[in-house]
Amino acid sequence: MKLFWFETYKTFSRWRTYIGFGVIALIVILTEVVMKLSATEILDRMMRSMQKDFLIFGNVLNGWFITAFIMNSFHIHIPFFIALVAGDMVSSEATSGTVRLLLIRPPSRGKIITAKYLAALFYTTGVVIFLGLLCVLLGLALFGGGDLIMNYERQFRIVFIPEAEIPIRMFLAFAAAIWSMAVVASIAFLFSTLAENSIGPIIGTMAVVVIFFVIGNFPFDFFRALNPYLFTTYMNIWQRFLDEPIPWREIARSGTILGLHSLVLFLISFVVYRRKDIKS
Amino acid sequence: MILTLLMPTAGSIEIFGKDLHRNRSAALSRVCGIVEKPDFYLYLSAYKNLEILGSMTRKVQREEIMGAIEVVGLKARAFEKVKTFSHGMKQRLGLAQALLTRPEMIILDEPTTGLDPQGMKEVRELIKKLSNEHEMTVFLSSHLLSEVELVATRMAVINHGEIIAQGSVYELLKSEPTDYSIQASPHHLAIEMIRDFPWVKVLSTESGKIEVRVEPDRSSELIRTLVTHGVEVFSFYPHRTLEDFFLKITEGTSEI
Repeated sequence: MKLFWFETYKTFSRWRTYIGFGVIALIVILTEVVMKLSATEILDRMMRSMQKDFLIFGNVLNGWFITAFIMNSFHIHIPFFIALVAGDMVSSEATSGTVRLLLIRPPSRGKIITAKYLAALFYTTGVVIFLGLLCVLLGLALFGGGDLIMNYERQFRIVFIPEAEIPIRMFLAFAAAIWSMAVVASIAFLFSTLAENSIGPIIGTMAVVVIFFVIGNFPFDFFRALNPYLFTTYMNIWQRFLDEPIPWREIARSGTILGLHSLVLFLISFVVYRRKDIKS
Repeated sequence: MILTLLMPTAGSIEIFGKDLHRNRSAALSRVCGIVEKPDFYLYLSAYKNLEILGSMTRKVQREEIMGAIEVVGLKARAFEKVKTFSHGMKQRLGLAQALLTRPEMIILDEPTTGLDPQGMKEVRELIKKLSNEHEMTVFLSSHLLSEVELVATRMAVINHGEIIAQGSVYELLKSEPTDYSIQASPHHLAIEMIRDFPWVKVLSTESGKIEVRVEPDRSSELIRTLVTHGVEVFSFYPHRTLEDFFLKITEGTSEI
């Protein structure tokens, strides 16, 4: 616990840790303010396809909808901020030379690497919670509350969630988002364990995430066949909590696959770090 | 390897009778070290660095941290970020973090690398202080033999991974004939007398100095004889250095 606290303290003592929070705040505030100013136009575009067949009343463009909308557009940004910190977690100690002072202490390398990994997960959790709270609170303040209407155009489905159910569903959605982002943190952490500088792990992690996303979205049978083997396929697990009915089985399967990814990646980091020779 | 930064491929290491591999935590709780240069978290203050590093060994109180910082003369900078520190100050802070954990042994690897003469002197004095006042064993690894001679009481020379000489610095140096410089008056009388001693070899008599080679055990006898025969001895100092000793015992080898 003490080691975890020290690692967290070190992490949050560095300015780069706050880049993610700053940029997220900027994007969310900017997006929500612009959406507020263009509310009529957005609403018009949203309703165009639905109004042919449905009569829709109430506050459709509400804080919950805005939150779901912004969350959808953070597939690349959030992994980048996570890679920026998790990818620096171990390698920065090698770059700065502090690893020599750290590893000659009584706590085992296993404990030290576990504390660092937990600190990386703590940061990941913090970033997602910050995003979620900012989206929801600012969204509700600017747009008010209301029922959530999600239009899955590609699947020709419209999902209606009454407002009373939304807070708990949003909570679960954000918990799932943290779970899936933990895989990104684990990849960056593993790369950080293998590298002696921070640039490689950050770029490497982003390369993996972007390539997997691109491959997963290619509309060819060959790439579609690869989809089950790409962790990015399961990263939209959070969206399933905004579906009706909630596909619990699919969520459990995706959650297990993501969890196993994180676990295996951490175990590799653990073994590598324990055997690593510190030569410089 | 002693500090577990490198994994041994064979053999075992014991510290205070404890196998390092099996009882790592117990063994390392009695040892601390600085490998080459002490690198700290530059974005944290000296105090916070010591708090974090010290607490990894045992629970440390604020007074202890400030005490350790004071011993190395950094009290005025305790709450400033380490990125503002000079190399010498970091080196002293390194000794403070070693001191803070109350180790029985401190391992220092090239502790004066990159320091200016003043910084080297300060670090040497601190090392002596740790040993004399805090009763810690300092295990010093250095290629600067003059530094070893000034600081160490016992030494071992490792050549090609094997110890080829060990013992107290004084005893090891005493075992070899040593060159001395003598300044004495009257100069010619001193030279004549010295030449009469069969156990003294005169090397040169230029520039008002007499260079001789003599067994260290008999150096006092030489001085006494000169003085009792009316020669005034102004100075008598050895040219014996650890470097000479080292070069002699490692003669013919290139890798140390």
